[in-house]
Amino acid sequence: MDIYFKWTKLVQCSFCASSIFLNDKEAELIGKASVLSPEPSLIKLHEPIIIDNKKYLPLGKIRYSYGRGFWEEWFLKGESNKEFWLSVDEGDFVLEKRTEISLPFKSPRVVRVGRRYGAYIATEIGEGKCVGFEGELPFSINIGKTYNYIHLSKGGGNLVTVEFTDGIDKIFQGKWIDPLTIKRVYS
Amino acid sequence: MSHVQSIKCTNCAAPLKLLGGGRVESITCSYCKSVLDLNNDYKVLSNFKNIKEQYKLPFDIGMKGKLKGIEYIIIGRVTYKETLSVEHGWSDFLLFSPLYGYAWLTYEEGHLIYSKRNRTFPSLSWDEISHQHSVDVERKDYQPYDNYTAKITYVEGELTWIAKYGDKIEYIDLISPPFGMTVENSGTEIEFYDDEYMNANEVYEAFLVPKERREKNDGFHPLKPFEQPLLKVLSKVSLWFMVIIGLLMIAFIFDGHGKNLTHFNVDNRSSVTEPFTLSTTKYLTSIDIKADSAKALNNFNLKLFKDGKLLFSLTQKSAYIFDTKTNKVSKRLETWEKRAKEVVVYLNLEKLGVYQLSVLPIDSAISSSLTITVKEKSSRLNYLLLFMFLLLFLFLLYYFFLWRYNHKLSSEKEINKGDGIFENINNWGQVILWIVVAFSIIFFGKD
Repeated sequence: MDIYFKWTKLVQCSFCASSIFLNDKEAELIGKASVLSPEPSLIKLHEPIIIDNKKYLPLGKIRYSYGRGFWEEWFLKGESNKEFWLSVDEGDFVLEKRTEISLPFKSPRVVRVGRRYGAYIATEIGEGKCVGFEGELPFSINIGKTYNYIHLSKGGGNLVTVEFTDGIDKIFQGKWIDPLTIKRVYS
Repeated sequence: MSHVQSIKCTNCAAPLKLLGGGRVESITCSYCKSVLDLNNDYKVLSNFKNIKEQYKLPFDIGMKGKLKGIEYIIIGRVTYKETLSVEHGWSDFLLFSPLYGYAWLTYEEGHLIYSKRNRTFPSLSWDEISHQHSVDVERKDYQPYDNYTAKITYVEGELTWIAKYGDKIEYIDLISPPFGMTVENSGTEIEFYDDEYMNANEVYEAFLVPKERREKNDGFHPLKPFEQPLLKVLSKVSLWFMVIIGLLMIAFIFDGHGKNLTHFNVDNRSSVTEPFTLSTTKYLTSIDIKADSAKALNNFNLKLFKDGKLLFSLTQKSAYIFDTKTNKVSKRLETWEKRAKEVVVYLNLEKLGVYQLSVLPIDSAISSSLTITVKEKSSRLNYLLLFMFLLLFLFLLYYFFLWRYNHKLSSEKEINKGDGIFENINNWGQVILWIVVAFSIIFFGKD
């Protein structure tokens, strides 16, 4: 198996779909995940893309279900080996990276859609159940676990996504992307 | 994202196909018109059975076509009517692409607008948007244009929300033709959409709409861009010709300002015959006759001879060119107006040599005097000026239609009426029109 990212923690074997956790010392088989059903997508694993003149290599994806449909979070390796996430939900694309910004609220539970919080307006609150992954990821995931999120909009296409369960887990910051501006490196 | 599924209507058991992806929340049965909730076991939410379909439209659910390079399928339709103007209605067709998501194709009296969700709108509240003179979104300058409320009057197929008859939505339209932005306030959410006016024929071709169902879009629409390609080309060509003619006129003015051959005075007491020698036939020979009053000018008869033969005769009542070979008048000319105090005659004298200009008083009792100047090599710019005006007219015709379009746009505008670029264009249009009118009066009035 080829590993493309220095900090990869979870990788799926493309032949047998086994999930392998990479810790500091060894590779540990943690189970066998079901193969994700193929869906039409602008993004393909290991096929580099260009967004705003910057090159990204899709290395893995996590699929979340929201009942009747699903969305996918693509793990991209950017220039200088940096980690990016491209959220793809039926034509809505958001490119984000992890951040440590302080949020204008203490608990994500108090946030309501349409309300302003500092420079942000809460535009969406939702949840998704992790149904599987492909490729490699920089952290381990729990298949079957439900994740909550908040979208905070700053205007001009700027977005902050807060991922939370009991408390705040991760914060991502980025921008909405027009899918028509995404170019393939090798078309 | 989801696969195409088939379900049965929970009201009438008719087979229904789900075409539209994971965000679809409701489907209206095409047979019994029941609205089914896809998130709640296809429970019947409402019914459009007794609602008459107001419009026969060119598009049907299930039609496929490529717009903006994206393969779409029409999955739903919502028809709206403005609450304050019930005659004004339109239909939004929901488009779906598995790769690019959802978009709208709005049909309004033959006009077609393609809309897609916008995520880059500046952080402005509803009230703030209406009060902006312009809103900059991704380097495009949008003018707030209209603010209105519409209600749903008809629903068909799949929608990404649950639409009920009479549901009200408030809109703010911003325009930058052929582009626009629509801000929708449904009460629970504010959404922004990028709009683009589409070439209707291209859309009809893309969706293979039968020719008999296509409607012409000759009327006004705020996003319909101003297009007069023929007049635009004509305007540009006219401008270039005006520059060329202008340069020619300057050259003629310098080269053809005339060389004095004779200058003399005549009065009512006696007739005068003044000889002059023509040394060139370049341009024309001008005879400038000036008097103190119109009565004085009208009291003289002027005749031009060469070798003792009459060539030209001029009084206030008649003017003609005489043919010495046939001894007949070869051409009658228009004479001057009774009120004129000065007249300039341009003659195309073909032969060089000595000419005699004879000036006779008609009534020696009327006190009158004339000053006569004869020049050779005099250019006459009247025809060029006329041509220049024709070119100016053609040049301004395009801008007149542009002004008329902007005037219409401005008069239909409901937000910040009287402000912004439309009014400026309007004012400039009026200035241009007044300039043309003034020039026309000066030029045509002079002759």
